[in-house]
Amino acid sequence: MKKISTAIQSLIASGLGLPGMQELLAQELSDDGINAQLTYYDEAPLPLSKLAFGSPERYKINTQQLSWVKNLDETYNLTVEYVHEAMSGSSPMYVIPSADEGPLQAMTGATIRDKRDQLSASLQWDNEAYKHTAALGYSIENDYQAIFGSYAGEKESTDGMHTLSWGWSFSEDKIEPYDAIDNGRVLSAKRNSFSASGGFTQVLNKNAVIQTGVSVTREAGFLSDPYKQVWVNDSVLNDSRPDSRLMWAWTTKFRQYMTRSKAALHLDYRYFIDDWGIHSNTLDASWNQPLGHDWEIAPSIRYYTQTSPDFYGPVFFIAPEDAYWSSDYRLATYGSLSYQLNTSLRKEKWSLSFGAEYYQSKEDLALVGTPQDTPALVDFWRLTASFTIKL
Amino acid sequence: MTYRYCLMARTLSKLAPLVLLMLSVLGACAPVQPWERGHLAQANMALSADPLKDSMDEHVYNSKEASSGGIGAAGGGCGCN
Repeated sequence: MKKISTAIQSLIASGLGLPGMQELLAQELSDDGINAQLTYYDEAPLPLSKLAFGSPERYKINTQQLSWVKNLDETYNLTVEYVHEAMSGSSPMYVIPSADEGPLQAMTGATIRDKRDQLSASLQWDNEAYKHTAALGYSIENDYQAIFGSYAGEKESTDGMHTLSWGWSFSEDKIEPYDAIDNGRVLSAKRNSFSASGGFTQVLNKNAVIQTGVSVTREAGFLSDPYKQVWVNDSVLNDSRPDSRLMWAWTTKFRQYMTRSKAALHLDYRYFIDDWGIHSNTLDASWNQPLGHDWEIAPSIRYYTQTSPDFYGPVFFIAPEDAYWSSDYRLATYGSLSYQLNTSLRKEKWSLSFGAEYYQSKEDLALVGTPQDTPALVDFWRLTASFTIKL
Repeated sequence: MTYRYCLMARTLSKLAPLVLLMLSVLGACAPVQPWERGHLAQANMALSADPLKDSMDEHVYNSKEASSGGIGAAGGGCGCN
């Protein structure tokens, strides 16, 4: 592989941040090295005033990620990534109407304990003016398996001012729920997804760059949640969603270098729409400020708002004719605010970073749509620590 | 569902001119010479400075929100509930 300037390396690596190609970002051009990250995730308990029965304690998740990058020769670069997650806590099941107290959330009683392991590998290579990345991975839990893969390509203009990028990805998933017979759940089901995307990265001036792109994703198969139920006309029925879903997303990222403070302003926006009736807006802003002695601090804020699909409701007093219904809080009309603070120390051969996030979701944070009482909307804390070493 | 397809198509058709306008404006930028791109090469200017963190961020948000795809690949599925 030809030796190229760090400026172009950065731009090419930036161009790999395609909508839909997130899994490939670990494969940006880099020296041989190892990157390890630890994450602790902790959801706030459900308020007792909103609890119908079960345990109010929600999910806690510990995650370990390990990434190994190796330049095989001048042309090929290999990245292998391993993820291990250990999860425990209770999960929302369905909502019960209550004339006096408003809708109440039924939770699982016993604490669920589960783990997930994921292994993926990607190969990056260049061919004259084109750069390619192909990836394959496998994820497994006690009740869920997924095989996924992707391809991304890009071409930089001769003057280095813009990069055209494209790609696709797929996933084949299989779910075999716990205690299926005892709880009337599906014994085994499959779902698959396919995504295609295109993007354009442009150097605006010597201090600013922008990337914009569009992705389309189609999911098909068993898309309901086998662990969720719905109160429908005084009966508790299984979560039932359409067996296909078509999604579009438009994403734009902007980076502006501030010459006086040597900081970088990041602004990211995504618009999402699908054929279930959901549309959402996401705005992410961060200020990345060097502090001297190779330290950097980056406060950020993220605002998210979504509308609910046609078949969502906390409860249903009349059964919908199409027999689709869900009271999964993740499909409700709501908005969220997330506050993050990240700090990092970057040396020539290694780097260290720490981060903290507080995420808060509420019905009245929704920008559009008509929110309904959603007792299970979640707040959480997340802490991360990461270490990278070049070999 | 047909109504939803029409609504989605109308919304996308309204966004398409905005995307095309953005692309046409971007194409008119004055060239920046390679020796002038030092600031752009700074680590804090990368579109994705920390890939592992970004992939974890999207995994968390995609499992708690109704939006998926866009930023975030179709791989690494999970039974996150």
